[in-house]
Amino acid sequence: MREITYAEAIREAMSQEMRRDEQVFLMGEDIGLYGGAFGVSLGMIEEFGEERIRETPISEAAIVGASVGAASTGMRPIAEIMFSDFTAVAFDQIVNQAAKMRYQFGGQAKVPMVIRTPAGSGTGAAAQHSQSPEAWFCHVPGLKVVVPSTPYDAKGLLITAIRDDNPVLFFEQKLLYRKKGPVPEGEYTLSLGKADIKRKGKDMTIVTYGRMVDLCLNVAGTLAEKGTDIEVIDLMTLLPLDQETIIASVKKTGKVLIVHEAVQTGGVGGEIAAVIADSEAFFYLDAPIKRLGGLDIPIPYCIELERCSVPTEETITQAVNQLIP
Amino acid sequence: MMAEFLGKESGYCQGKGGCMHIAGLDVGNLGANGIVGGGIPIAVGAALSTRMKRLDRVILCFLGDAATNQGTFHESLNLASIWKLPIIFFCVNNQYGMSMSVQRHVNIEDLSIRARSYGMKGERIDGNNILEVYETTQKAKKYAMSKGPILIVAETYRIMGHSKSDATRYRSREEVEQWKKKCPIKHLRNHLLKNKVLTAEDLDALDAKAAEDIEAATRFAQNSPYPPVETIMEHVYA
Repeated sequence: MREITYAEAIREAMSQEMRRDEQVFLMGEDIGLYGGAFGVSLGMIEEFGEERIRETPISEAAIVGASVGAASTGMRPIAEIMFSDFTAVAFDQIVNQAAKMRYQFGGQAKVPMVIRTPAGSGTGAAAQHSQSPEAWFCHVPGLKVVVPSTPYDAKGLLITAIRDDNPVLFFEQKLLYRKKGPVPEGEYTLSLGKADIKRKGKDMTIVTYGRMVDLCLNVAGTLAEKGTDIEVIDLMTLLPLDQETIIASVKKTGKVLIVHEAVQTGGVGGEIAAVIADSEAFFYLDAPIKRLGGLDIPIPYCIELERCSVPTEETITQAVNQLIP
Repeated sequence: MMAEFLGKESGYCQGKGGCMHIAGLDVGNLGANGIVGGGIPIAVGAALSTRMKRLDRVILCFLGDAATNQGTFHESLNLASIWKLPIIFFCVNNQYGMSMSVQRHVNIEDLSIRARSYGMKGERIDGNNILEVYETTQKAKKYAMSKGPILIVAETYRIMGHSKSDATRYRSREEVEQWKKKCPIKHLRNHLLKNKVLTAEDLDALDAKAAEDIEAATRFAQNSPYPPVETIMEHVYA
């Protein structure tokens, strides 16, 4: 199969959906000739024009609010928020408007919209351009939260997200934009709320998502040579959470490490740990449930401090070794 | 609406929205908003749909004087203006944002001048003159559909409190009495009588009919059941 990058996979998903459905359009800052801050929409304005590749002023609340209004009146907007940190500027429109409209109107409204936004550290952009804020939104019924880890997943999940009738937050991983992988040329969908076991194993489970998936797979590959067989679950969707896959895996392996780049306190790792502890998997545990998140700090600027603020292959290996000495 | 106020199953939102969130999407009402200024960008999005679907339609977005101090107001007016969307921003200046008077919450006398900084037309009218409100809105509709957005600021007054907890300690009885004299309903009644459009008997009959309708709506609401608890998880997702 041909290989394309994560960014190209996202662009292809948007372009194919826009060709298929006239109601789909993209709205955001600098998404036209500039191609978006990370070049994801490069070239799309040439094909679809200014009406459907709709550039906005720097007004995040208005971008999301206008998307809610357009979505609830029959369009399918994709809103690009340039950095996921900036979702905070549009927070009310996401959590009080998009998420609640259907429920508070007794099912009258549908809000089919996607908020695409790049997340994560590793670009030397410091505290306001490097966060992984997905957990903020996992606390809000009415939203769906997706974090793809491969080009293949990114395309399939984005097509599904665009066709979904609910507001979906789609956290793109900055450091993965140039990652290449096999991606079918045609349209395909991947279910939201379904995790993917990226590596089968029997000795322990690592539950992770996003950029951390590759790191965990590398660690699992290295440790396999030493005789430790690790199962790696890529959640792909954080809300709704695929509890079944997590529980089944932990029942099988008896040991679990949860890894995410987002700061540990209040991160989705706590919820995953609670899901396991609340379930029958608890009785199969041979060791405490272990979490490894980012340090509880804003992302620092200095490249070495930044590197040490989130899990690395070294710290993941150390965490695994605590469970399997 | 009355059923929704009482949280009943027969209400517009099946008892899940209440007085702050009444919507009727089937008749083009995109809903009220519990967040001051929260609905303004949503209205801009509805106007954007109208434009992109090439519909012959205009969006009417109501907001209060206090909402003009929210960032969403400014972002939305700017966005609507650069895209020349068919939308009327109708600001009901009832002189108070909860307890804070408009004199204290802005440093301008005429809120409609805020439109100017977005290259948009702004008009200030007597909100207690029903005919002026009607005619201005009709003209604004034509304007919005052909030229783009417009801001109307209708000066009026909130006779009652902000909510049931409001003891109105922040204003004088005299002030309220002064405004009561400018009652828009009485004003319209006198206008209709003076111009011999309707007789006093006609108007009394209309008043009686309105009271009767409200009474019937209240009875309907009171006699409606609460939604079954089994519906509690419905409508979170489509």
